[in-house]
Amino acid sequence: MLSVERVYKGYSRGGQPMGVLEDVSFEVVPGEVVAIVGSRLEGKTTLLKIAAGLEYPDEGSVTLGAQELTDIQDRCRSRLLGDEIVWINRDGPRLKVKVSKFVGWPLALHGCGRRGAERAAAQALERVGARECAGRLWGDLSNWQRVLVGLARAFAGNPRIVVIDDLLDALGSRGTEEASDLLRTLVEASNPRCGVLMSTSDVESALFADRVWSLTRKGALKLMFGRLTSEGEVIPFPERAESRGHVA
Amino acid sequence: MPAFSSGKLTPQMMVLGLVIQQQDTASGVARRLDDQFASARFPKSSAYNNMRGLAGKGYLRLVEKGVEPSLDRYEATSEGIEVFRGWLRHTELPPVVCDALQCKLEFLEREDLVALIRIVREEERAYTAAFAAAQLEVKAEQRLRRARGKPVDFNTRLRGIQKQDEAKLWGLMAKRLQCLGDELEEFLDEISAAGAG
Repeated sequence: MLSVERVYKGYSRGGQPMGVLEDVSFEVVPGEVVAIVGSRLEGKTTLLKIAAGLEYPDEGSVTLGAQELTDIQDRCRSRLLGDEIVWINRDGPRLKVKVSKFVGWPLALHGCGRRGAERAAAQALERVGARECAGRLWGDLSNWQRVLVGLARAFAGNPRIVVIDDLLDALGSRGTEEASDLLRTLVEASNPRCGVLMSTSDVESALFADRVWSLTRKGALKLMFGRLTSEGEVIPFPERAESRGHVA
Repeated sequence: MPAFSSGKLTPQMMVLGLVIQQQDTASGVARRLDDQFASARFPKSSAYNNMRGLAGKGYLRLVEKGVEPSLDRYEATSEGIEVFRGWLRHTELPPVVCDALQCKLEFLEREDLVALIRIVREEERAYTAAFAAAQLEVKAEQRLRRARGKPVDFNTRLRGIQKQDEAKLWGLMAKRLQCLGDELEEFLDEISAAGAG
């Protein structure tokens, strides 16, 4: 389980401190899709990067199982990333590489070997119905193909957590429905069962999540749908509450 | 409480549509108005009042007299069907937003601000609860679709699209109210600080 507890993060803008995340707590359990809905510049990507161990919070902790992500050494962190935690967004690879290499990269970096990574990448692309993209470059793909390739990369190995930043936005109703069906199929087929944390600026993309949190302008999280914690009961209106503060 | 308003929507047109779907009594239409358009919250008297009005215009005709007026059974006339199809197939532009909060902001005085923030937060919670309820139905539909494949049946598919759209509307409204509440709270902080300074 991924657990984010009492996280604070701020930046300095024009010499003025600005809070981006204020006492944010949530968790992602295996088999679950958790969506964070927020407008642009509300700190969704910052929150996801902290949850994925790509960025440090100013305060608070992030744990994956028993592993604390906020105080591990860089070598351990890079092993964890791509192996147990996979991050995907709209940007694709930084280098100009073919899709097959991009999809197999995390596996190749983590001891799978070049051949093994190629084989796994081909299988992953086949599984999402994007075999024809293997020899192409990210820049030549349509939005929909990028979603498929992103998901293929995310599930090529056996991640415990897949973090998806804004990838599923602006697909339209049908695209969202198909992407969410595919995502759910991949989660259910994962072994061990992985959890998904995704961000979106579009309520529609969050319609199929098991838990929906809304990130406010003040950097707090409010629960829109689902349970506050994995052990907790669904909290009925009007007790359904803000998550400012610890939600245990 | 205001819900969404995209174009002009009258209970009269909904009553006409329901009687076109099947012959019915005022009491039957009242029940169906409540079931099929729960989120629109049409007044309880809409069915009875409008069926008499529609019959007066020649859009409905009495087919069976009941023991009381609310049990009179009506069917749609060809003229009524034509009027309804005209409404169904034409846009309701220009765009209309009939939103009570927008109007309250127009009349707001400084001393009302705290009360307005409170009602924005109350509405935010109510719309969030409506989003959560609609989301449950969308997810149930998703599970069914994944288990049985995409339905080919027109009505089932259409209801699925309608449910998704409804959940999206509630969610958008909840998010909008959240942003408005945050902005008003920031505004209150600013004017309070300015007043204190």
